[in-house]
Amino acid sequence: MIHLEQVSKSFEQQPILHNINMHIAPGEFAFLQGRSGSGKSTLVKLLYRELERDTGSITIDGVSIDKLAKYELRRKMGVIFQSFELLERKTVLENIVLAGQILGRDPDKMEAEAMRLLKRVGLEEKAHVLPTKLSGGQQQRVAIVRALLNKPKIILADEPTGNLDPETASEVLMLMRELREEEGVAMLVITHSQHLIETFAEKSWILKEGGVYERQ
Amino acid sequence: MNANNVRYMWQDVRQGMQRNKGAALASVALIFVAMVLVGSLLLARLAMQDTIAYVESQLSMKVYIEEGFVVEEVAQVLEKNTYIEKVEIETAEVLLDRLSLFFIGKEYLLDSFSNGAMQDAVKFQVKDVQLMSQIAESLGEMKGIEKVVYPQQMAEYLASALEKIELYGLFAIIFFFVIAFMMVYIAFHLALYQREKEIRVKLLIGANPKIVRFQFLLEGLIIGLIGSIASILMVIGIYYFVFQPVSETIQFLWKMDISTFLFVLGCQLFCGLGIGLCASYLSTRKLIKNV
Repeated sequence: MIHLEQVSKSFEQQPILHNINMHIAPGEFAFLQGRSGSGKSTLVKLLYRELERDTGSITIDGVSIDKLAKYELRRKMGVIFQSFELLERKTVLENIVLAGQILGRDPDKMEAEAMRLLKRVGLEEKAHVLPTKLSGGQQQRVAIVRALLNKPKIILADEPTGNLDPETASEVLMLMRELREEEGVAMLVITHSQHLIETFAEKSWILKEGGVYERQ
Repeated sequence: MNANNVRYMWQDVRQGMQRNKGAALASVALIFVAMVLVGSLLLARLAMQDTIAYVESQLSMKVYIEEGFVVEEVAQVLEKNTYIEKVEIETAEVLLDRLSLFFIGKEYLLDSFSNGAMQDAVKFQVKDVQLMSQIAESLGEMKGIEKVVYPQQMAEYLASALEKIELYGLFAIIFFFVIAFMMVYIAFHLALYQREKEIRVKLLIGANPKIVRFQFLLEGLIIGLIGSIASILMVIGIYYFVFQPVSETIQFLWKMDISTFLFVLGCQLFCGLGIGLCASYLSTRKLIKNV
């Protein structure tokens, strides 16, 4: 599925990631742990090419990500951000269907799919509410639904629980794990919480001093 | 891009313009002013171009005879010149007779000209239009000739007036072009600033940057289109309410066929769209490149 080989990245000659090797298989629920500034978010940004790596290769289903246009690559992935990145002027439903709009999907089918997923995460009644009226946990669930709408092969979640209290964080991750099974999608979750990794991870790595180490 | 993409894009364009109503209206107004100037000046230039060319092509010349000289003798001298033909004498009496046709019933108005105030003249044609000013100059220095009148003088006056209008007009056009361009550029920067998050999110979830950018180009095109169409209507108004009445009064002054008029309107449309498109293109370049 996603394979990183000898990936390195520096900022102003300061190495952040050094010879990173990772493999995420289809349907896997994987975690990447590291302290603040360890390069976790940089790694995720390299995967969806918001940043470009210095060396090494990244492939998705055996195809180098360099061979795909950025937007083509991003359509194969769903991205969840720590700050949710929902648009305040659009309703919950409009935020979700935005993901389908950019692909030019049929609006009726898209809305039906969005409502199905919203029902699944328990927010069916909030479809026409602005995100600012929702709690942090609810906003993150909306972001998860948006990431799932286009049925991506993998979801990259960059500290999805970073802005949530521990209880809500556990609920969100539980939901993500269930959706991963139901929707058949791999997930790479970035976190600095040891507790969440011990509770949910099937596979995990730790980022330390620029290198990545798989936990057994 | 499919029909749904187009529909969503149109929705976004509408919302975007509504959100930045003030800036969009100011941009439209400035494009309108700049394009009205472009249209009016082009209209004046092209309408008078034919007049100047016509006047310049006239080969006739007239010399007024100094007092104390005999008009017939001057005419004989002129006839001998190889560059001159069709020499014709126009005495003061003949000229007065002709003038009196314009003052039927009010002939007394011409009384003051009857005591030798009118001069005799000789009319003739020059064989080569290129030699007009040269011949006029040498005749002006000839004994017995007081004044030389020829159509190129009129053309020169017209051209000189037009040149001045063009020069000041050009400055005004450049000024309004720059202001209109800056206004559209700032309006789009403002729109981009307001929608920075939206654009970033769209790009991160897989929007084609070309489509995202096209949305802004479309907004620029719409602003340019509204501004230039309004200016076209204004110039059509100027044509019918100013140029045409003047043209009917002074028939030789303006001359413009429909294709030239359409060319002027086309220029306005092209320039207006160009400003909208270029300003929106340049203002969106950086942001979309960086995500």
